Amino acid sequence: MQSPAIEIDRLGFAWHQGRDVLDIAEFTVQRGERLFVQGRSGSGKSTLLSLMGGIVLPTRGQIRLLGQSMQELGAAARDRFRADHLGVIFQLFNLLPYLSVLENVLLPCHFSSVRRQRVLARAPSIEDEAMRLLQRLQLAEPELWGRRVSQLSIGQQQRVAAARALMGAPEIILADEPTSALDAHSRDAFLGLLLQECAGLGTTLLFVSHDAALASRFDRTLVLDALRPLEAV
Amino acid sequence: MAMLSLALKSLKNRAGSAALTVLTIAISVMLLIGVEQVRTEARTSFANTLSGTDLIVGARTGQTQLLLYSVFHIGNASNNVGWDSYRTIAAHPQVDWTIPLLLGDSHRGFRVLGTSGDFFRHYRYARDRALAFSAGQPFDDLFEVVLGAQVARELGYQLGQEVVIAHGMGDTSFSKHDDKPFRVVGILAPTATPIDRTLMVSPQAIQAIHLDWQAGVKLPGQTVSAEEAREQDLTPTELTAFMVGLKSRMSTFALQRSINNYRKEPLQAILPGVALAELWSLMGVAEQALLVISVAVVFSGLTGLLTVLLGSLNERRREIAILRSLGARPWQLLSLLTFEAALLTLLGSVLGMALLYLGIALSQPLFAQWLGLQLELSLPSARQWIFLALVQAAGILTGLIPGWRAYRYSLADGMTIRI
Repeated sequence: MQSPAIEIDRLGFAWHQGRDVLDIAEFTVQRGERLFVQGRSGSGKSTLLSLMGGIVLPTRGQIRLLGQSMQELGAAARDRFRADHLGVIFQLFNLLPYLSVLENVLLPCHFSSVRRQRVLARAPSIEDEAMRLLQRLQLAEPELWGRRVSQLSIGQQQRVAAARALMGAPEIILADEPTSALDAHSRDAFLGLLLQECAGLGTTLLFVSHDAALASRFDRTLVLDALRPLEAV
Repeated sequence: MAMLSLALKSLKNRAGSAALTVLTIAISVMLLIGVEQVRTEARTSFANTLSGTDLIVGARTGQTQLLLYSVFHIGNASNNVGWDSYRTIAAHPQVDWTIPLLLGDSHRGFRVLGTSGDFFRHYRYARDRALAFSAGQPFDDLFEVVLGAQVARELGYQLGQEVVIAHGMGDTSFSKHDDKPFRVVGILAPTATPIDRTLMVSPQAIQAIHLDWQAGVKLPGQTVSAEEAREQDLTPTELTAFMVGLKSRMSTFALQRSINNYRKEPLQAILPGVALAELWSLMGVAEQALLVISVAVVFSGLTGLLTVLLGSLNERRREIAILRSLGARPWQLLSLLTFEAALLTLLGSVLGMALLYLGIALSQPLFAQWLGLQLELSLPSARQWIFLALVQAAGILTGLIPGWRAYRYSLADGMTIRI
């Protein structure tokens, strides 16, 4: 049996020996599961994402991604692991403004041979896969692909960011408030496309937002509370 | 798309500030290599003042002092050499030629040198270059004068013009030999040596203008006109110094020794090369100062480079964090920034050298005319290549600092890129 996508065991985290910002007794996300993480500002959402991305290590307890304990990896190996197995969608998209749409989407394959190989296993070239993803995310006009991302609308930029995260089918996608810059209509359209594409690739999606209205579209919800983080289903 | 192309695209995106950085480095490199060039040329130009002369003979004094007044026309001789002694040594079987040097008079701040026609035949400067005339010919008549290039240019003199020689030095000298004007018959081509600032007449002419003088004062009521002067015996009684060319270099030391032991009067013979080297070592402080300036210039240039790179790093903090979140490894970020620093430094060096060569090409005539420095348009010397390599190495090292900081940032920024 495959190990779960994310396993958390008695995890605690504090910045600079201060008060714990996170305290999660036990939590597991299965592969292919779509999880909604809800919490107010300062509830430890960002810290949770940094822990899951292997950027910081827990102060106490364990975090395992795809069966691999993050503590057991060195810094360089965690970088590698993140590049190979994680896709991230940021609140502010974080596209490179001086690259074209297509070049932005291709970036993960330049930093991870694992993701490149995965793409080439089912597409003739990484460019083909990038174009396929862009089309799936309703950025179908080829004339868009050569443009610099700074010339795109906010909604379009967020879809480019999603295509970039999906590139090379990473097992886990972390989305950090990706819809906060979008209006209600774009938000729903974006979420629909993202959920659809994750389902198609069998990707585990961890979607962080303060917007409780979105929770109904996910398999499960984790609520983080600012004062006493707790777990809910 | 490799890191290389990413680096280039990122740089292109910041073309404006990158261009300024390149310009900063270019100016530093231009100054460094330029100062180094001037330093080398000053030294060469100095060593090039005299060539081909085996011995310089004067009254007994320090060898540096003799060199200074005989070749550089700086200062005055404390004693003269008797004309008889000069003729005796000139007649020595090993001596090929001699050039008499009679100094002491001036024309509007320029030295007047009494010398023979052998001066134009045998005097050599740089690497065995002979004197050339840009106009006219050597003096032939008693009251004819040949001008150095700078004298003619600064005073605007033409051939055929009349020139009055003043007694002693100084523009405003009251005692002028105005009863015996000289006619300009030749103008020398520039040599970048003290010759350019000198007027040349025959030794007899020096004697002639001093006929009615004694102990530096005009004798009242004893005027000897120019025409009367021609009638008299104008062989000088003494001269300041003279240059000697030998038939064989082998006899240099033997002749030097015998001149130094000359019995009739205390004489001294010096080897120009040795004296020039000794004099230059006295001026070594100035040379070292120039070197220190060069180094300071480069240091400031590299500090500028570091400032610009660190400044742009703050702008790029977000870019670096994005790349890292996409899986770029620390060494890739480090190489990205170091490559950029190396590229900017290289472009700066190339541009700096181009500017320098352009500057030299444009200012060459000015340098030659006003400073007597002959700047050559030549490929960088070994030393200059070393400087360029050091600048490049320093540029790369400078790039490592922001590279390292970028790595630190990317750790601190984590997955939340909100800068």
